[in-house]
Amino acid sequence: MAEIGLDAITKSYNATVAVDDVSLRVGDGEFFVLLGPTGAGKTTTLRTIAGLEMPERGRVTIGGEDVTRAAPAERDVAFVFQQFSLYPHYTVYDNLAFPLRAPARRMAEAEIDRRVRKVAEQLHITPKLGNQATRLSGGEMQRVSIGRALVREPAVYLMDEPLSSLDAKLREGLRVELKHLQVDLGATILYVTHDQVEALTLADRIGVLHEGRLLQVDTPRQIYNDPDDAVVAYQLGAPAINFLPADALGLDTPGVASGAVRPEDVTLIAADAPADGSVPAVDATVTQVERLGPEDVAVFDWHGHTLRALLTPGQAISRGDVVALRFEPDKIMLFDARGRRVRRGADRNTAAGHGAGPMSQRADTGVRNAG
Amino acid sequence: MTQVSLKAPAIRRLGGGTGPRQRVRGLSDRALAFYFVLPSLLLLLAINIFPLAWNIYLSFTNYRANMPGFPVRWVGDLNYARLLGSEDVWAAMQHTAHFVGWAMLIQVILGFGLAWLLNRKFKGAGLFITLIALPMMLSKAVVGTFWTYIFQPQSGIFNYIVNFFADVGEFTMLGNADLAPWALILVDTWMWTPFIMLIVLAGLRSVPQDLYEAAEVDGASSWRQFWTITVPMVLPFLMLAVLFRSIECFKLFDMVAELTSGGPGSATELANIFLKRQAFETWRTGYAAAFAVILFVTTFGAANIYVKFWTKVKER
Ligand SMILES: Nc1ncnc2c1ncn2[C@@H]1O[C@H](COP(=O)(O)OP(=O)(O)OP(=O)(O)O)[C@@H](O)[C@H]1O
Ligand SMILES: [Mg+2]
Repeated sequence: MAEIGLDAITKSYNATVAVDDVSLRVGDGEFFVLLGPTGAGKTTTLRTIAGLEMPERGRVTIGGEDVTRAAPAERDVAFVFQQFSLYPHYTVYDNLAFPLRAPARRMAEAEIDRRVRKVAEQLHITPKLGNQATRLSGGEMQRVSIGRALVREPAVYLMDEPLSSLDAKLREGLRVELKHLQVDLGATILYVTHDQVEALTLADRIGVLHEGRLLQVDTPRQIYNDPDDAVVAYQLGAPAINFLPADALGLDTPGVASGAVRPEDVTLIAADAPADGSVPAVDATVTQVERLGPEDVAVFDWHGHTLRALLTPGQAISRGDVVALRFEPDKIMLFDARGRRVRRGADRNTAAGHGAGPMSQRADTGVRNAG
Repeated sequence: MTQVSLKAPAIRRLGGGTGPRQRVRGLSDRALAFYFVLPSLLLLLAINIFPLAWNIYLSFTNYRANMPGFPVRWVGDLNYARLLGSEDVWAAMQHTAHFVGWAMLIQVILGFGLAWLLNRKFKGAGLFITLIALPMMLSKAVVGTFWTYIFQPQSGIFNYIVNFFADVGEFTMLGNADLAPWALILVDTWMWTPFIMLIVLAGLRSVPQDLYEAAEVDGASSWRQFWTITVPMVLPFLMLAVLFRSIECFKLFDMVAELTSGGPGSATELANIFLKRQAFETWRTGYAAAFAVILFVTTFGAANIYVKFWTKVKER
């Protein structure tokens, strides 16, 4: 296993800057997740590391060695492609065995067989080993594609949305399995996803990519609780964080354009209970209640702004109710006009100690993904 | 036109298929379909099926087209028995096999190679492909005629070029029993290699590039990528091209008629040339008809077996 280094990588296609000055270090044995919406440049970043794209500027290192100009085969990376890219004329077995049969590896057929069967077992595709690669469901193809990477012992694993075609149950199972495997092998994995649940559950560290730029790199907890950027705050957490213009929140700090509150930090005060004068509260109308299973989410309309709040199990509200909402002032994150975070003196401390409850719950709930 | 108000049931009826079959002015969908197909069916019957049947009938007779008054006698399988026992027929078949085999082999190799070279993006690739494809668009008789000039021993450019590289002196390509078959193969290759090239090029372009990327990351050499990705993906295309081409080669006539007319002697007497000589030079119409039936069955049978095989390859 080895570490990956990206130094100021820039890659553009004609007018599109797909990856814009990205620098990144993935430690040896680290599970690093690149999170970003579609078109953020995630695939391009992975392809650059694999050697399938040549960056215009910057340097790629693997295991400390400069591989910017090296051919893909020389880099010793395993790549799980977003579009699977299975060899259509081979069976599942031969697809899995393909990388091991590379002449450079000179592996005995018995050893190949052992590895292929082990990986097939791990990914629950043993009954499909004899199938033609084209005669599989999307989820099965995706698992074969993951398997083709796992049979190898490369310097690093690059995985491009490897769980995206699986159903929720299988995805949850494989997520756990993948994490186990990574810990067992001490593997370096650079994993790309647009799914914040995957990012939060799998990652040792998360990097949020947006329009080719790397906005923030941090641990899951830190990046959730203390985002540097409005986009980062928005990318993590489902239901998504509530953004409100500064004047609506009555904030008059210079340079602050908006404030954001996580749904779990919005407190509902019963409509008939007298508002506690010491804490500012607003009256909002319930427009919808989304039942997610473990918790419900209420959607409110407040002067034309849409707000979401988590409901605790006991709270029974329904459409049309007018409810008083309270935002804890110290839980409101402030952002400037360009979306960068504006910090108050105490922000770092409060953020670090907060939110363990909803955080861990979120991490275990695949259903949440819907947001 | 039948008058229908556009209400839901009417629309369903017009849509066909799904709803219950209803009669629109006494015509069911099936009958309507039949009447639409009928004209082309009749045409096919008149110009394809009838001549075929007539030909099969003639093959069992001693009919001679140049003697209309001659009494036509049913001779049973006599024509067939004679054909299968005739050395000339076997020679013609051998010439055909030699021609088809070598022409296909050379054209596949060259066509694949050209397609391989043209399958990368470079400026003017489109123009290049058009230029290479030009011979294919000429008439076969015209090609035959001008290649006779090219092959002329004294003034032809072919002799000049060969002598430029190897000092062999004057030779007659078309007049030499050893060289003439190769002249046919050469001309056919010149004309039809582009056809194979175009189809293989389409095949090469249909291979998803990400397969090569996956193979590259997996450490496969270019050679292995070629055999595990390119060949299986292009094979169905190539096989289709070979099918079309070999049927064409098998029934080749006009080009040979212009170039050698089967000569010298019978060195280039392909099956179709032999057939024409029997039918319109010796006027043994019944005998020629029997040979035509044999050729038809052979081509048809071989093509069918090949297509079955092709379907298997394609479905892999
Ligand atoms: N081969 C290409 N030619 C031109 N533009 C490209 C090419 N590949 C990617 N792009 C552009 O680069 C940008 C980043 O693409 P990329 O595939 O890296 O996004 P992504 O983050 O992987 O998105 P997704 O989640 O949809 O896979 C996009 O704007 C895309 O249109
Ligand atoms: Mg992508």
